[in-house]
Amino acid sequence: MIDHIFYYFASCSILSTLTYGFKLITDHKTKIYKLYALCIPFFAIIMTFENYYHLDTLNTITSFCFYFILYFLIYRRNRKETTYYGIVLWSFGLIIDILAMICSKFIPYLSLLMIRSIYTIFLDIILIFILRNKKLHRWFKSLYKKISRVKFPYFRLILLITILCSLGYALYFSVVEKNIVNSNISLYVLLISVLILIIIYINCEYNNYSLKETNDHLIKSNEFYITIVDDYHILKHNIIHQLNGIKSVSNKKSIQLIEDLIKSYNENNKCSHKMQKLPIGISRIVYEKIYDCNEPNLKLGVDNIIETNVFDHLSPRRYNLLCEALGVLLDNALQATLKTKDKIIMIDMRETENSYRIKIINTFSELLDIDKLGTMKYTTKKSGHGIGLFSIIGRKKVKVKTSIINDLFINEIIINKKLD
Amino acid sequence: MISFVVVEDDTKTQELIKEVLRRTVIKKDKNIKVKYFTKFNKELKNIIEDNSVRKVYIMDIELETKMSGIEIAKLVRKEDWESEIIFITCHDKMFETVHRDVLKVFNFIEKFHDMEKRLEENIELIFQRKFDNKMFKVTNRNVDLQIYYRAITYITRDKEERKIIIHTDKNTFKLNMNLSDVTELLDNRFIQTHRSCITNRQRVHQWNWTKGFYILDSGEKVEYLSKKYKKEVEIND
Repeated sequence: MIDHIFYYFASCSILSTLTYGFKLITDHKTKIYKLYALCIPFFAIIMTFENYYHLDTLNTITSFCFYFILYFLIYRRNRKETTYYGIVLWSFGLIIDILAMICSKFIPYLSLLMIRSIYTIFLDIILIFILRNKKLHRWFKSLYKKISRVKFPYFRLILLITILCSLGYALYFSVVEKNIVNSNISLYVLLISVLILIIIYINCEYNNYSLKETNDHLIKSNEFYITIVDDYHILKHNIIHQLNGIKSVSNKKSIQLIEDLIKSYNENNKCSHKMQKLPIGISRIVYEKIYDCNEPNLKLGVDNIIETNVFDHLSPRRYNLLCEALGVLLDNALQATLKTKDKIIMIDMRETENSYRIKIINTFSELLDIDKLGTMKYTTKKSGHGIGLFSIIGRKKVKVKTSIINDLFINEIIINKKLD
Repeated sequence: MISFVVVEDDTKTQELIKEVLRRTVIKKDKNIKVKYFTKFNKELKNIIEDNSVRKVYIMDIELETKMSGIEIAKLVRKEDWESEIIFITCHDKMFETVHRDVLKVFNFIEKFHDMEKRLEENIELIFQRKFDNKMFKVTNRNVDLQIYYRAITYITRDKEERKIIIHTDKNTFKLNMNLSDVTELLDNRFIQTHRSCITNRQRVHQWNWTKGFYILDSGEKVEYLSKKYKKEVEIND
């Protein structure tokens, strides 16, 4: 009986150590729900009972679950972080268990369980000192950052497969040692885990399918919208054409009326033709920049003859660079053109066999130092600017050609088609 | 040498243009060549790429082919900024405003509104201008700069930074050069009017030697006039 009392205290000790260890390793500084720590003695009782009835496999699983329940209840951090640090600390607990088991074999005078329990308490104290090490915290944090990039459903899947493998291993040993109670429990747990695995798999597949369906629907809607806009342009063009015909045979008053009518047709479109036909992604950047500046007198022309999907020819990294360059140049063009009387921006997009070429042409009206243009911190805006053009001009993967032809500032972005 | 290039797919409109050109261009000089096209083809491409001849393009914007008038104009402007482009159109005004500046279009003429009369006037204006499309060109590490001579009003020297400042109708450019270097890149319409100023005399409206300033055609007053250069200015005038 005394062995089990020792085991109870050892369980309390390891649960408390690892719960406190969670605080240390995560540098937890927000609110702690200390009251839930009262669960520790209760969980320890369950673990002692499991040990009493030799339910070793179940003990491993329940102890694993208890840690997580405690972390969730006491610290309330996000699931991903709790799972990661939970596994780390559980591994520490496992090491302590193994070490205590090994050490207990060297003292034959006392009962094995009692010695194991004493060692566990002793190793717990040492673990607290180890977990205070700041270098260790940093290392685990950097590892967490890397792991957190993994998509969560797959992370859960990996976790579940790991547990299944461990269970299979435990089941194998239970069968070899002919421990029927343990093997039955392990079998049930294994079955439940397989079921969960299948559910997760179905869930992932369903999510992918619904996402694909949504995307297809959006693309179809977009195409439909483009057709409507095209139809509108044709209709408007034909009406203007017909009005011009009537104008040619009209008297002065009618001409004035028709001209007013034509003017009203032309006033209500902010962007010119083909804006909606820009490649997906690029169009978003252009729209955002243009609508952000909120200038009703801005005259924007877009000519696009890019017909291929940009994402099929550019790697994400190259696409990012293209977006960055486009964003910087559009910002500059907008800033410059808004100071002018004409307020004109023209975006001309085309593709060759090997590259995409985007020309941004804008009017400007200011003093430009040609030799300093494109160098660090040279700007015609307020101080603190002048990084944008400089940062993109030196890039190897994206080339930017700048030219000034009279009152037009022309920037051309050239990016090679490559999926590196 | 000048030649005219007409790109129009509507035969009726093309006939009207032919008539206008007969009255204005061929009447003046029989040697002036006029080429007619209904669509973009190899021959037209060769004409566009031939930079030895200055051209006047008269084009319809909406051709019933893949290549529109705007696309052809873009091809022209790839290399050639000296030729003139006139669009015959029934397009909306905003579209015109954008392309007029970007492609340096001489004019947009509406098909159904006094087309012949306006085309005639435009051709007259082009002849009067004598294709003054000479450009000042400078290239450095990051930028290519090209400005029409006619757009440059005067060039001054910045004493502090030891740079020249080129003043145009709308903008001002600083360049790392000196006045004697820049003179070599300009033609004889530019004369020195001050120790630190070169002026485009074609843009000067009035000289005031006694008070030492001149007034540009835009109304701007420039106080860079020295009596030392009076003889030189008067000889060139």
